Amino acid sequence: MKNIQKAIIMVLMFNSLFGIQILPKIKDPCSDPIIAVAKEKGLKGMNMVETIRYVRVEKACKNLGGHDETFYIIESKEYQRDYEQSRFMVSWTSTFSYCVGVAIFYYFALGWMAK
Amino acid sequence: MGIYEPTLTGFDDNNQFPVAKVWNRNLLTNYGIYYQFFYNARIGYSSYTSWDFGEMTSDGGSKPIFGRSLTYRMFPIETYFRIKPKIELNFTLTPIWGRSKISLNTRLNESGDDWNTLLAIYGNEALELATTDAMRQDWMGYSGQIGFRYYLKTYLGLELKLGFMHNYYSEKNWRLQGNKITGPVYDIEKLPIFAFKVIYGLK
Repeated sequence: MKNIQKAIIMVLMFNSLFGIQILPKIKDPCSDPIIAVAKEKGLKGMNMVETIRYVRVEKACKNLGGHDETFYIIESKEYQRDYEQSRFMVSWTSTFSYCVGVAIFYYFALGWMAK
Repeated sequence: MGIYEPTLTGFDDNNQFPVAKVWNRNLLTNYGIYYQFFYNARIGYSSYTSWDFGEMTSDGGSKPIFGRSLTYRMFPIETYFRIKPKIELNFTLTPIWGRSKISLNTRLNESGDDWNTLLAIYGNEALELATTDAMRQDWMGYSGQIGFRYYLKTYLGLELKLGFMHNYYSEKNWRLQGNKITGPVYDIEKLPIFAFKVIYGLK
């Protein structure tokens, strides 16, 4: 048990140390260039490094009492765009869904009846 | 992470294998990658694996380290739509290419002397050596699943899936070093399956 405690303390210490080195404090987060990148590419269009930067910038800016609306607009625009693109099924996709639904219904219904 | 309930008679009907627990019978580790190729449709690869390992308790043997995996490799076509901006329903049909693998890490007996002779030339002391080999079996099947996905962020979602698997598994025709052998009996023909997934999306 003591070894586990030591291991946890060591991990936390290293994490803090590396955290300071790898993730330096963001200066002026509310006007960070990553916000413009997010507006241009969208959140899904950013790569992993950019996404991590964006999440940190968002948190830091909100902590400083910055504009929540900027981040809200970026996110809600993307949600709305995704929703508009996929709120209705197109062409064969609805037929496919019916087939899956029927297959699952028959599997469970017949299985239940067989018992 | 998936949950299902197979009956692995080939292990449960004797006491030589590690004890059956939830983690080595009912839990499945899962990963997958999908590509949206059409409006409201994705295609991809998904793999569910059940793991078991431990020491075989056979009397008189070398008490080898035993490992068993059951992998359900899927090539799904998934259609979906959003009922709310953050909520998605999806429907999946997929063929299954299943594979089971049983490996033993056995201690060498007389044949280990050859190694020890070689090691002695370089001034080493004799070691207790081990050798690993595995028997395998493949089978085909199919699966249907319905999923409910909630997006925490536009690029990050949590998904619950419910469905069934149908596997055409036979204990005959296992393979071990080019030989055809009989393997353990698995009752995995018709199985309900539940899965929980964390989804990360890129464009």
